[in-house]
Amino acid sequence: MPVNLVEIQKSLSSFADQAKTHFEQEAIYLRELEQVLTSYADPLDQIRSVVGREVDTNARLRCAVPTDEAINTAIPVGQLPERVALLAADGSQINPSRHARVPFCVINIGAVEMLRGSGQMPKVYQESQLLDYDRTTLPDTGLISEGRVALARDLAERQKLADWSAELPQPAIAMIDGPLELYRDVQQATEFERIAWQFQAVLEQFRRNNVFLLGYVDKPGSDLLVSLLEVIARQDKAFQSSFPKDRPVRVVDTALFKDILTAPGDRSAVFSVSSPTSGKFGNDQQVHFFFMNVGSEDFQHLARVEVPAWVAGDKANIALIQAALWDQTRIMGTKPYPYLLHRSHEVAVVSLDEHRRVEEMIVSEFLRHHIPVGSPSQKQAVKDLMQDGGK
Amino acid sequence: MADHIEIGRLLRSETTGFVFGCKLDQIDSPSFGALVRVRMDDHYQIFGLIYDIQVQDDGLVRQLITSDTLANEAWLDTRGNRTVPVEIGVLALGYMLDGQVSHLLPPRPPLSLDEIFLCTPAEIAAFTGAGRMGYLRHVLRDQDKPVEELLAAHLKQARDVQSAAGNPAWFEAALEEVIALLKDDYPTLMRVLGAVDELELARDRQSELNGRLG
Repeated sequence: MPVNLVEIQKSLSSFADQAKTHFEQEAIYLRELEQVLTSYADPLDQIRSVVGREVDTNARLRCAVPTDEAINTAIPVGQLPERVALLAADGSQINPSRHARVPFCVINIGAVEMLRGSGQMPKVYQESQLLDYDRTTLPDTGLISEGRVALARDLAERQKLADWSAELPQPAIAMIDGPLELYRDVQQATEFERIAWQFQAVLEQFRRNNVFLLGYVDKPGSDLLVSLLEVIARQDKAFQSSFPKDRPVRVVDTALFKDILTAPGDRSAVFSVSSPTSGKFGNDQQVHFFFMNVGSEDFQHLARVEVPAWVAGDKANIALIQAALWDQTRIMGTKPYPYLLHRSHEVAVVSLDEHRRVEEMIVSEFLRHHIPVGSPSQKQAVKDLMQDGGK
Repeated sequence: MADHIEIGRLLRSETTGFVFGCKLDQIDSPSFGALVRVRMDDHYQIFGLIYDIQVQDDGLVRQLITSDTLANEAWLDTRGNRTVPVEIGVLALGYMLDGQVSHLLPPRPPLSLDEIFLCTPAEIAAFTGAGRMGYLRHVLRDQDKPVEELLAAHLKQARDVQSAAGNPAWFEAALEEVIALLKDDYPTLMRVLGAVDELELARDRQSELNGRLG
């Protein structure tokens, strides 16, 4: 048996006690935050100047910044236009492994286009790229790292989304799963800088084509609004005592919006982000976000939606995105997640069987060219034995 | 042979039958009881009867059912783009080798991804009209299948083809063969003839048989 369940059982009581205490602390801190939220819902200029002052002393500050809507506002979902073009893309990859017979890496991008209201069959896009051998096997580190592959995949996903959405009829929305910006792993800082200009070009491509790019974050764990409220509270004598420099417990933004976005389809105010890197790609591309209740009367479910500043600047664009996401999540019934994002994932995902077939194709080609082919590591060989029925 | 209508490709097979798959938007072509063939090479093809059509589901289909407002586009996407195949079971009835029809089971089954075609009227007439209709015993053998309905559907299709080909006596001969094959299995025979009767094909034959069996 891989896990000693008896030992786990012994720890459960203490584990649950800790969780209970944690939730109680969270509830207390949440009430404090809600009071700040209520007090500072409207004075948007004042909030922005507070953030500005904080940035002067704390260069690493990362928090939400209100735009032109009260921060505790809830805006109901409107009607979807008769026609709207939607494209969602997702990426997956086969990471190179030193345990495999040959080093190789595949990036697979899938996308599905839907002309909502047209009654036409959606169009499926798919592109698979075998990474160059010279990019897979590196002189200094050996195999390309999984972080670098993920970065390449994310860039390719956004690039293909921009290419494939270029000819969409207007209005057009392009979406990805997750945050808009490329994930910056500290270890990939150099690689990130190398491809930053490409990412900037991709972002500009969406703008040039007037395609509203969005990133959909399901079950978000961000605390950008919480951080904003903490900054505000620490400079207000009425709240200072409850907000020490080190927060007692982590509360996420969705906890704050739980009592604001009560009606299905509601969205929050739109916020921008203040962070050391938020202006890196220009003011027009700065990430903005809002929260949205994509659940039902019986089941609230909050998602965070990220859009570039040039999209967020027009409330009609936001209303269109809100209506489109509402429509997409309705298609999925009791599991409100955008239909097209799920479909693009289906198209993009690489199965284990496909992984093996690609490896066999590469091995065959190597043998035809008399290139030596290694054997799998003993560790991998033993694992394969287990998968074939070992215990 | 003209009008070759490909209806799918082989998923798995054994000597007595095979299963092929087609996409949901191809489902208009194959029908229960239809005669199909698999072309193995220029000299050899296998004939069979569709006895089962299964539309598979998956997690997404089950989820979409919960939607109050299933978009037209999502419906088309699921049917046209997704890899949710229709699985179609075929009972092997015989084969044709170098132009000669045999109603014995095929020497080897078809292979993965072989193409399946609907039989044309000429092919149906050639296969069902050959020999002494020995292929009917394959239909009657497997009582786990809906034998009565299958036989009725097949007899109707073959009767129409044979009549159009100027052989109206074929149907009578086929019923005689069925009766001969089931002479020791009265309950099944009654169910078979009942199904045929359902199609208003052999009402008279059943009463005649009732008289003969006393």
